[in-house]
Amino acid sequence: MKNVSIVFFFLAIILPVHAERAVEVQDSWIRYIPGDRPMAGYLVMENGGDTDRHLIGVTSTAFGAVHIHETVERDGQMSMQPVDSITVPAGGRVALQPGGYHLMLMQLQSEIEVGDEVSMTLEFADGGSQGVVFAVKPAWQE
Amino acid sequence: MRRVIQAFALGLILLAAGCGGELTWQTRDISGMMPELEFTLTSENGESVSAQRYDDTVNLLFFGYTHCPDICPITLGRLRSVLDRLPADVSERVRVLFVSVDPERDGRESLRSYTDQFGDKFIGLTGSRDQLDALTKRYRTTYGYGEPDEQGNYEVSHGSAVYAFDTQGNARLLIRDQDGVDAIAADIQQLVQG
Repeated sequence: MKNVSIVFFFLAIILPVHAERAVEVQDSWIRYIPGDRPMAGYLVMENGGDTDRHLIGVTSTAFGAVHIHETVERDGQMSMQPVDSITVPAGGRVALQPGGYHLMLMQLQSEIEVGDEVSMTLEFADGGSQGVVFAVKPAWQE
Repeated sequence: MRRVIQAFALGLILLAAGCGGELTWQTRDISGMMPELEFTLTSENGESVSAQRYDDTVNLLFFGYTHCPDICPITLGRLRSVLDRLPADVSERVRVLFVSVDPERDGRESLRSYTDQFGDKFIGLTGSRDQLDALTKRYRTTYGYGEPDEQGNYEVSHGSAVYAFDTQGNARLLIRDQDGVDAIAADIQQLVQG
């Protein structure tokens, strides 16, 4: 019992040093689109830690594939481009928001509707991951 | 003295009336710069329609596709906010014509279920590549398709602007991303009442 206590004591000291501080997520939501069509996911990430965090992927049991995308305008033409990673700078924030970076959510696995909540996992380049809950909002949400 | 003031007031009214033909707009005035609304397309009800079908309202024309999760719903959502802001007797004289430049994936069911998300003033249209080419060329815009991925999904590029036509079908305004809901609503109201 004493040994166990000692182990916990050391873990308590070591863990906060080695575990990356979680990115703080706000305003996470999905724009609902009916049918088997891609939907967009949005969120704001704030990094209160001392090192940059790089979002490299998102997984969810609700969707067969999730890509990171950016909407771009060139000469009045709109298109979307895949993005490999998004950096959340140390002490800074980055927004995936309408008209810019967004998650492209594809292959919906089972019906969802406005008002539902969908869980997803953010994957970072340093191996860290964290769960986020997204609120499903109507297609016309601004 | 009272007569002088009355004459002055009358003068101001006449002056204002005289200026009636020179309305000012907050979005871009394109009167005389683009041709009147003309097309033959297929509606979300599956019928072949021409622009005359919609000539009882002011029409807002936007090109997009329904596998577009971000910018198309943003633009349509903004137009919905504009319509919500207008008095009912004005908004009932406005339609939004959403032309899909992706006829391969956008059949009538697909179009209708997408436009229904925004309200009954939103009409989905599409057509053959020839019909779409004619219409996009007419308004000096274009569209294109990206390479399909393993699942056959592909991106579509399309114009970002919304074209506003008066009830005579004349092209009047170009509404762009940076135009706010209040500015668009004021212009549309002026277009309906003008």
